[in-house]
Amino acid sequence: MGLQVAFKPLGIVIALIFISIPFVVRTVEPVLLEFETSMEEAGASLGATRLQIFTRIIFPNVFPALLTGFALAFARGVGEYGSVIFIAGNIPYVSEIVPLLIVIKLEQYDIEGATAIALTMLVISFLLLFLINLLQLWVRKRSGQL
Amino acid sequence: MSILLSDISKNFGTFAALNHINLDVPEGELVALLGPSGCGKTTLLRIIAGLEHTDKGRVIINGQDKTEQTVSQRGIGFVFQHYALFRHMTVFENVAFGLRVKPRKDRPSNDVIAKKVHSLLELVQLDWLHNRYPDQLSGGQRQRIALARALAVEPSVLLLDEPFGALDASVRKDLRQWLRNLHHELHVTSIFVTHDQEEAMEVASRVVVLNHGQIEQQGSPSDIYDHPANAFVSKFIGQTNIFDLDEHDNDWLQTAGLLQPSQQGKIAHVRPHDIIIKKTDNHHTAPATLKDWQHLGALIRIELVKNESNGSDAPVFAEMPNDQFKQLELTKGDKVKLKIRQAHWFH
Amino acid sequence: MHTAAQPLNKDKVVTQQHALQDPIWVRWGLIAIAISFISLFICVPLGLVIFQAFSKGLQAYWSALSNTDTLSAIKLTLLVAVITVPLNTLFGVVSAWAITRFEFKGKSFLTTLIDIPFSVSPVISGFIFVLLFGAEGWFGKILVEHDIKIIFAAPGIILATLFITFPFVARQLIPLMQEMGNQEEEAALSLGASGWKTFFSVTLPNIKWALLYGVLLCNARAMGEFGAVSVVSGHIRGMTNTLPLHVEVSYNDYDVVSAFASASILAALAIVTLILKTALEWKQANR
Repeated sequence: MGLQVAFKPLGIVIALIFISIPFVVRTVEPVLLEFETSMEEAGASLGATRLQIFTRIIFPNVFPALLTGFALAFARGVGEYGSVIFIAGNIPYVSEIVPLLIVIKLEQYDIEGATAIALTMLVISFLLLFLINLLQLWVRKRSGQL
Repeated sequence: MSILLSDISKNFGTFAALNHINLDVPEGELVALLGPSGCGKTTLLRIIAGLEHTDKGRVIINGQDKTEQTVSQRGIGFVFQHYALFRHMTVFENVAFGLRVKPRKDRPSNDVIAKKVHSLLELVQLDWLHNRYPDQLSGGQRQRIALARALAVEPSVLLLDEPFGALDASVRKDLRQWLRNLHHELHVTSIFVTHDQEEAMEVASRVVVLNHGQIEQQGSPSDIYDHPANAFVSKFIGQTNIFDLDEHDNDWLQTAGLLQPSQQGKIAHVRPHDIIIKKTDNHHTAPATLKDWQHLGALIRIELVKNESNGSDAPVFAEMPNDQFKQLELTKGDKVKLKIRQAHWFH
Repeated sequence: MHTAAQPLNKDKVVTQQHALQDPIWVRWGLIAIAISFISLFICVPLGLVIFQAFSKGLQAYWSALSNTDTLSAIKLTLLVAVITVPLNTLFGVVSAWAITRFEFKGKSFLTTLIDIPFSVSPVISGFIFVLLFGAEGWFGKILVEHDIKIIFAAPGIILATLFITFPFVARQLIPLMQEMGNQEEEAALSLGASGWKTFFSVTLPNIKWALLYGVLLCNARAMGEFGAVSVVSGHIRGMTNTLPLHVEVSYNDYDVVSAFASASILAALAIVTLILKTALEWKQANR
């Protein structure tokens, strides 16, 4: 087919999709389940089409959960190690990921180097967590006012 | 048993939920804590139960200081607003729970528990449901099971949080009567919280009116209705017409028989049934126009507009029995004469 | 309304669309996308694992599994799960209880902390333990003096797994306990039940299915964790290799059957977990 997956960035993409789907599905699903159909019915009674109901009623309600799911999936994707190293071939500058870099530095007993990379990634994770919490706070505030 | 609350205060953050509450409930009374939402009545009930701590003050039940005791030590019966039945237990197990968790030496045998539970279920007339789960019951049935559960431990006092709040209007009417009869039978000191003045007047032997974390008035239902201590109580207990002397035509009020030499205060509250409607002119009657009326069962509620010399046309509400109103043979727009029988004056 | 009394036209009822129903092509389109996505990214890889494991016959599969290195990897994996899952169940219940039942300062911070293992790379999680307990780590000297081995030994693997699987139980319980409220517990207390009694006879029966679900997820992750364990284990064959690590080592040795045979155990674990999970969800819905 000429389409090579292993040992290419495309392989990493596929591995990370596999890993991160559940995060998005699991955060959005309960919100959709709990979603009041009466709101959709109200929209329909006011003459909205299904597309309008989706874009104007359902989506805005699901959006915060979607963002949270996105952030969780993103955090997991950035940090993922196991599944990626199998498929990526770990060619420097082509298909080498950051967590692997930490492991390599560690194996070379370059603790300082490993620590530096780990710290940078930790900061990114904390920022993401902070963002998720901010989001949830915002959602709670907004729904509290409604 | 008697309940004595002395100088109870409670703050949530900067919000003062209760402010120096003193209350004495004699043994055997059925007391209503009545007030608008957010007045602190549920907080007060939870403090008596030990579900909430006081910042200040003492809770004394039957002469014993219970302030430091936890809810499980106080031996009270609490009926929760949404009943809080244990959803994984049958009706029987729900009622038996309080007996089963007693320390081993006080715990009755299974036979005694079964007998007691069945007698309680008979008391609330639901013994036939003992095998059901709470999800399979109607609201009124859950309410009665919750009550039976609270009574199983033979509580010294019974506390009910909005006992009829979540029920249909017709079920509510039946249960009110039933609760009052039950109280007559058992005579356990009971306090219930409600925001519905009609419910408080109908069920309770004493009513305590709360507002903004303070007791506005307490007394028998007729006391409170006939002699409201202040404008808040008067407005909260039943309908009332409010005449502020600064805004209203004094001549009109005088001819209606309202202004009297002995009056104190500037604001008059007049109950709708204290307004008499006449067709013919008479002494002490003031002119008004009939606007509309509604049937409230035995009573008719009549909307009138005052015909004042200063041109204002403030509305006045009156009430009278159905048949009396029919005898008057009035139609919309008729000119009538009003007489005010009595008023409560406030500053 | 005389129209309501007329017999309904049956054909019309059948073709009439429910107000909130999407057109057929939208529904089937979405379902098709979801199914093909899942089969492409989840079912095909899982199927491949099974296929490769048996590619040289049942005999080869069996001998790959009964190999001493594989057996010791299975043993270590079970040991790790047996220790970490009960501990994290306890931690999970305690922290969910604290977060949903008490008001205290720093509560939202604690809630955030619980999520950290989810958002931090497993490699970094493992690396933290190397920094703490490794030969050149903070406690390295003391540990060497007392001849205690944590890194490149089972204790390190257990610690790393403990860290990684911490959130599963708590995360499963917190929303449920928040939604449940504490009225039933207050009712039990008002009837004279002690705190323990209330927990065991009222709280636990209400949360048991969610708790089991959390335990199940926690277990699946504890047995399947790779990144964090890989950093702290040192890959010593027959000593500090868990099943996922054994998969990697065999794969790097071009021992494909052994790699996929070990992987098939993990895949089977995943499938059993899924089946149990579905059963639990069904149980909870039909309570």
